[in-house]
Parts: sequence; structure tokens; C-alpha cells
Amino acid sequence: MTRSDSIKAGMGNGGWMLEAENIHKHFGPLHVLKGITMRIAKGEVVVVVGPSGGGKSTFLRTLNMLEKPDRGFVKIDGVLMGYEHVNGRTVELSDARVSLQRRFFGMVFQQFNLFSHLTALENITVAPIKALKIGRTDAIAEARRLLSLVGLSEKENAYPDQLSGGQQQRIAIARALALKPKVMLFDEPTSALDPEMVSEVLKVMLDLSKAGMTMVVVTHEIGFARLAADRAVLIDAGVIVEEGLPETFFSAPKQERTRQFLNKVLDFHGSSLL
Amino acid sequence: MWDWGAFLHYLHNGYLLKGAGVTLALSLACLAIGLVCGTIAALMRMSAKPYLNKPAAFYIWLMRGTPVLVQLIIIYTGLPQLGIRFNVIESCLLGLGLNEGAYLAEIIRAGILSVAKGQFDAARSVGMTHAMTMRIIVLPQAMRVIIPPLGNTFNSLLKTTSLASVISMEELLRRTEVLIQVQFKVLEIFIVAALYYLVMTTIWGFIQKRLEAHFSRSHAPAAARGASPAPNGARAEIEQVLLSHDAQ
Amino acid sequence: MSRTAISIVASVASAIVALGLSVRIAQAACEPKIGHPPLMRKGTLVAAINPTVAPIQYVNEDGEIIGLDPELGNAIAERLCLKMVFESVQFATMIPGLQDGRFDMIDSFMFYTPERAAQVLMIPYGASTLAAVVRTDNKDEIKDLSYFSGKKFAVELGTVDANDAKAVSEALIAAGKPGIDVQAFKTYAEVLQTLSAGQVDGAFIGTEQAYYYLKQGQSFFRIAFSGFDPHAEALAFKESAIAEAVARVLNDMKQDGSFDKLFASYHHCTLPGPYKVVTGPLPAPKCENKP
Repeated sequence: MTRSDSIKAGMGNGGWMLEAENIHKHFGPLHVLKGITMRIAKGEVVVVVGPSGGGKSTFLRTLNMLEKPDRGFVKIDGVLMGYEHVNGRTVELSDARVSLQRRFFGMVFQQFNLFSHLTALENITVAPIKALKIGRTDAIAEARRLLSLVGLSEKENAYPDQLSGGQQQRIAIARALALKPKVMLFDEPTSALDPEMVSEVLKVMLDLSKAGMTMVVVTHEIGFARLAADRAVLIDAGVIVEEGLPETFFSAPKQERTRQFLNKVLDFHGSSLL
Repeated sequence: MWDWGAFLHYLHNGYLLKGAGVTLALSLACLAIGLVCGTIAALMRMSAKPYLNKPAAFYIWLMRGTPVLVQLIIIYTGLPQLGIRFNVIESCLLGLGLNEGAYLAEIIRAGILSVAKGQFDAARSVGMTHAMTMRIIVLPQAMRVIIPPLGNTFNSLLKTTSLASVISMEELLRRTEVLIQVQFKVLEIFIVAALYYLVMTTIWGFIQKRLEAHFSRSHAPAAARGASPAPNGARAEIEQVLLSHDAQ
Repeated sequence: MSRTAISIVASVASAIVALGLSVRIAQAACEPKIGHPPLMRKGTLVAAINPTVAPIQYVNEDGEIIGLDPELGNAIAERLCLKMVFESVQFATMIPGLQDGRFDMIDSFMFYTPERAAQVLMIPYGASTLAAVVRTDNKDEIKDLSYFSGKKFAVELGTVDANDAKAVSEALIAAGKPGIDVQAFKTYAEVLQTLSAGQVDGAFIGTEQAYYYLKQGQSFFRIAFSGFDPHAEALAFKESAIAEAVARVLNDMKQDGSFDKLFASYHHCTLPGPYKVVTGPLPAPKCENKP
């Protein structure tokens, strides 16, 4: 069974891995997310594109509750994020319980955000040991496995300051994977990298997608989208403008706004990539 | 007339040395108290909840806005009129400790602010609670920025303890004052005292250097990091990598 | 961090307690004559003393408090079958400290004034005088303080000496002459140091003190005139029970001659008995203070 078949099978069953229903978010008077609904199946890779300030990063952050939605809810593999139903009432979860829920997600940031005072190995093991209470030996063994997965075994005792951007980002991916998340969230993972390091990171992401990880990737890398995505989504001005299969989305978008956006992006990246 | 004999004699006088010991012990104790008060006050000050940040702001404003000498005298001679009586040592620990805490609160707050916001995001997204984030990720990184000004205030504290002599604390300055009455070797004994202070602050200087090195060990000098501008063939390289993975 | 911090503070605080206070302890061997309360601590007489006036009260090289007042205090405690404990306290905080119950008694060369007697219970027992001193290279003949009109004069802060100097200065100004620039310092040694450095032209110190330092070999100053403004010195108390018990002891000591013998060994004036708590103005005692 190919990946797309199993995804379609999952969709058919109604068993969504990730459900975001009517997400609204305000920052003060600014209405940044105006009712976004997205359902993602297990193993699906969704690429989110859009202009900056359009809300795509904010949307990503509401998925793992780094930002709390003002309206709407998020469910991961059937589990409601941030709330629970008690005696017919919806009750907010405490900070400690929401923090634990976040382990279902692995997040990778544009600025890497590695813990600068810890080595690569410690970056990966600190959360499993402290937050998930996993034993030290097990955590270290798993961390080493992940380091070799991203091709950086020899850097386990290096500090982030001693590593290149691409290396830091790969370790950040390993750190996110250490929690055995169900969904990986990528917030413009290669935007801050020097061009020759972009490919090493994209390769790791590609491998992940092939291994069946459910991923939501906010990115400008159209090439990666065409290669790895099962679905492409344009978020602009707080709403989903268009979504569809990458083959049609990038070459023959239906919406005028999508067309305008892609034209600008294509000009920047150069048409050779298509 | 300067008396070398007296100077050398008082240089190893036990009564004075013990006074120096008290100065050192008092400074260390007040630093510890100050660190505890300062950390709590800094975290409260940074909270969005008014019932946390307002009391903290008041404490910092009051203790930094009045002379520590006045604070010591109010605690020692003023409070008893309200029925609260602290002895000399308690008054010193309270006055100097709370005062130090107010200054450290601002230093610690600055240190925490200096830690990039992304660190909070990353820590939260790997499942750490706010308290864990502060303890394991933010405060250790903030230490690098906190140590130099903290070193400054401790250096200052070593000497500020001499104010405690006003409420009869048996530290170095009070003992100096008492000892000069014996043989009237005023200049010699004051210079011995100054030397003792100098030794203590110098030793602290070395310790501070070691602390700074410890908290900076994860930061490589800029030359060690490698990053070169993108060569022209970058795009082609990426294409090749991506196309080679085309398994469809 | 909290556990380490607490143990650091605790061990440091106990180190401070061990090193901190300068104490002089004498043993008691019979049934205490005053109970607790009114004493601060059972079986102990706690006295405040500022050991900065040699030879009346000062420290030796090891920091032990010695001199006339400590000897007097020890003798009193022994007769009351109490343990004597001296606390080294700054002069300025003594009366408030006594009122706050920090000690039982002040035994610190404190001159009797009606203002002080209004705040605490005072028993005058001895007398002392002031000496005006100048640098030895000052060969002028000096009869009284008016010599220092238009000059600088050092005194100890908050004392009768300071008040005397200021009073003379005001009288000079009222008479149309320049006043005295009176500068106050923390202790007598600092007063003398200022004179030695030439920052002032003259200073007040205690007469006994002046003779003590000259005997020690100090040669940078000479006594211009001594025996000035005889003043009674007193013990001070808050609790009348303690004051009365001590007054009884002083009178006993006077009767058997030990009181006069102690003071004579220090060439220090005594007041004629009987000794009791006094208030209001006191006539100037007779005291010449020659060694």
C-alpha cells in the first residue's frame, strides 16, 4: 500500500490524526486567525504557504497550544488539547497538564532555538528526562539513535555555538523527535539557513515524511512541497484561501490570490525550480 | 609618625582578623539571602498578575530608594517601638540581605530578559512547565549576563557591611575603631583594615572570573564558528538532491 | 538551591554568633540576688559598654574588654551572684537599646544629664573632667576655651564635651567674637588623630585619657588645661528593681572601702555616697583628676 493510499484510507475512516476546528485568535484588537479548520490524516504531510503576517505561523502555534485559541479547538489523535470535559462542562487544563500534552507535537523553529548552555546530546535528552521522567540511560541511548538518524553522531558533545545553522536545525529536529511525537510542526525551518545548508535539513524532513510521520510544514521551499507534500494550503489574512494537491496547487491554482502569491514566490526563487 | 613595627604587629592581630572573618561571613550570608529574595522578587516583578508584580515593585523601589544605613537603624532602633525587636545579627542579616535582594532583583530581571524569547518557546514545546523552563533553561542562561553585575554588588557588599558597625556589629570596621583606642596607632590599624578589605575583594575578583568562565563555557569565540556565503552552484546542488529523492 | 542556601546561611550565622560579640564573663558562685524577670536573662547581668575610652574602658590586644568600668561591673555582678556579660555597643544606641530591653544596665562612662535621667534611671557614682589638648608645637599659653575663638576644635560626637564646646562658641558669638568651629568625631582616638594631623587646633578628651596616652609615650600633644567641667558619671537602668539592687551593692562597697580603693587605683574621682537613683539637675561634683 503506498503512502497516499493509507492516507486516503485513514481519511475515509474519519480517524483524523489532527483536527483544528474553527480556530480564532486575537492579539489585542488584531484578529489574526479568522476561523481556520483543518483536518489532517495520519502520515499526511501538509505544506502551508502564505505571505508573512498572514497568520500561518500563528496557526501552527495554536496547534500545540503555544498560543491559546480564542475560539475553536484542537484535537490530536482524538485527544482535546488544553481542555477536558468534566461532568458535562468544559474545564481548562492546568499549565502542568497542558505542558505534558505538548509532547504529542514536535516543533521545529525558524531560529532553531537550541538551548545554548547544553550540548547537542543534552538538548535532546533534557525534556525526556525532566518532563517525561524517562530514565537517563534510556534517554541517552535514544538521543544517540536520533543523532545518527540526522547524521550528527560525532557532534554529541558540541555546544550549539560551535555548530553551523544546518547542524543546529538537524539537532533541533532530533530534539523534537525525542518525545516520540505524533505530529511534527515545522515553522519555516530553512528560512534562516545559508542556502548550501538548506538541503541537509530538507533531506532529514523528507526522510521523516517517508517514514510515515504526520507533518505540518510552514515553508517557502516550493521544491520540497512538490516533492513531499500530500496537500498544499495557502493561508492569508487569517483564513484558508485555497488548498489542494501539490501537482495542481502550484501549477494551476484556482484562486486569484493564490496565483498572485505564487507569482511573487516564483519570481524570487526562479522559474527553474518548477 | 608612621610606625612600621606597629603596622606589622597589627597585620596579624587576632582580634582584627576575627573581625574580618565576621565581615566575610556577614557578606556571604547576606548574598545568599539577597539571591533568594532577588530571584523571587524578579520573577514576581515579571509576572502579568498585579498581585505579584506590584508588591515586588514596591519592595525594590523602597529598598533601593533609601540608604542602607537608615534601613539598618530603622530595623535595629525603630522597630522595637512597634514591638518587633531583632538583635544585632538579625538586624544586619535582615537589613543588608533585603537591601542586596532589591538590587539583585533588577540584575536578575535584566538577565532573564536577555534570554531570547525562542528559548521559552522551545522549552514549552518539548513539554516543560513554566517553572521547569525557568529553572532548567532560562535561569542558567541568564547567569552569564547576571554574574558580572552580581560580582559588582558583592564587591560593594563586602565594604557596605562596615555600616553595620553603627549598630554595634562586631565586624572589621567596629573592631578597628575599638582597637585604635589601645595604643593610638590610628593610621597603622586603618591601613591594616584597608588591606584586609582589599584581600577579600581581590579574592572575590578571582572567584568571579571563574564563575564567568564556567557560565560561558558553552559559548565559543566567534572564530570557531564556520559559516561561508553561498557559492553560485547552490541552487543546482539542491535540485540534484531533491530530484535524486524522487521515488514516485 | 534552597537547601544549600539554608545550610550556608545557618552555618555562616552560627559562625557570626561565635565570632561576633565581644564578651567578658565572670563566674557566679551563690544564689542570684535578682531574678528573671526583671533581668533579661536568668542569672546574668547584661551591661552595655563602649570600649573606646582608655583607661576607663578599652580592649587589650586580644579584644578583651578591660579598664575601670569593666572592673566595677564585675565587682557588682559578683556581689549580686550574677554572671557578668558585657556587650560592646555604640554609644549612640545605648539609651534606646536600654529602653528596648536589649540590656539590663549601661556601664559605659556615661555622664549624668537631667535629659538622660528623664529617660532612664541613673545612679551617679563617680566624676570625671575634660582636658583641652593641643599639639606640642603650640607653645601658646591657653587658659580657657575662648582661646579657640576663630579656630577649629575637635570633640567626640554626642557627648557633654561637644555640648560644652558649642555653648562656649555661642557665648563668643553673642559677645561679638568669632565662634569656635566645633567638629565632632566618632571616638576619642579619632578626635586625637585629627589633632595629630593638624586638621584642628585643639580637642577635648577625658582627663584620665590624656594622662594615659602621655604615660604611654604619646608626644604629639600636650594638655592645655584639665579638670574642666567636672561631671558626674552614672550607671543607667530601665528596671527599678535592678537599679535598687545595684545601688545597695555600691553602698556596701563604699562602706567596706573597696569602692574607693578601686577608683584610687585608676586615679579616678568618686562621688560621696550614698548612691541612689537621681533625677533633675545635679550640682557640679568636686574633682580635680590630677594623676
